[in-house]
Amino acid sequence: MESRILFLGPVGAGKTTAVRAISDIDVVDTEVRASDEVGQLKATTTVAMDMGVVQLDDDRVVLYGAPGQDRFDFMWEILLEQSEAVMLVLDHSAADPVADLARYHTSLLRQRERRLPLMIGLTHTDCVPGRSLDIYESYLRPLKARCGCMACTPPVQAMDARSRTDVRAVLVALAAVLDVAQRFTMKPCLA
Amino acid sequence: MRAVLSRRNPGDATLTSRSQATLREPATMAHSGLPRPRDLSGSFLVEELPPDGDRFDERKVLHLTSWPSMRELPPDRLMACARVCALLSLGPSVGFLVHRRLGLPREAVLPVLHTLHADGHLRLAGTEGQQTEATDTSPADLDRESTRRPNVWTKLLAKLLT
Repeated sequence: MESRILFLGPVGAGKTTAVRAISDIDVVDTEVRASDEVGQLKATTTVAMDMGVVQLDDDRVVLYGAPGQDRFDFMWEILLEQSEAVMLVLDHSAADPVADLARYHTSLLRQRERRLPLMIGLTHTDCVPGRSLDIYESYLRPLKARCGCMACTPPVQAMDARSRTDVRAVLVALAAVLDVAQRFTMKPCLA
Repeated sequence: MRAVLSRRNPGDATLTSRSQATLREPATMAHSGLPRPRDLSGSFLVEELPPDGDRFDERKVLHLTSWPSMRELPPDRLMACARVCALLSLGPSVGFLVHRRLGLPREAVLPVLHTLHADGHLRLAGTEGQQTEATDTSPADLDRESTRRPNVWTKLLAKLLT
């Protein structure tokens, strides 16, 4: 049996790095040299997807990394359709990370028929020590008051995408949510 | 401060609340013998006594207010904490049922609940009988729990923690 988790988020947030940190295989990637403004941020960028695998006994969990650039957003929907959960990777040091959260979160909540359990992984938190993680709480609080399901009010976790330990800890949280969701009735989304 | 004290002795978290510490302060100011300014308020006791929801009590309904930082948890607490938070993120639950619903030993879950509460990730409300909101405590859930088989996510959890 194959299950899938999608790593989603803006350019340079660390999706590919996080998938690489946790995958049991060499990640299959579609990295190419960045030819647009992304080239100022990093040398290469994902154009289709990354694919890593966590191999279990008879099963496996595939970790998809979606491209971060908006012009490849058609890939998000393709990958979302096949995934059972989403790890939204956000760059905490970006100019406006709450706007990034709002943009992706709104897109995910638009999937009315299939709202997936969501976990938010914040990277580059050490780059802006003065910026509190509470800024995300202020965005999520009204949604929590309105609904409170796992898609509407995801847990926010700091992680270093390069650290296997950090990525693993956040993935443990997501796996626990998915495990519990299979065994108990999920809170229906009211949003 | 409260969290640190509680971690030293997780089974004794209720004895370390900040509010109780305040009550132990002398009622008069030593240098002048005058009553402390707060005592002038007629509602001193009402204001300063810890509310019932402040003391951890596993008979009460637990609401998850936030997740702890998973990467900062000790590896031996990671799975229990993740599963407790995942369960409570589905809905509130009476404290003493949490370990049964998760199929984990009570001694593994109780310290996690104490720590989560001491760190402010759990809010307590009412007792089991008073809380109709804690719908996930139904016997049907427990039956499902006892008959469940490991799924792919259980296996992933096990793999990640090895």
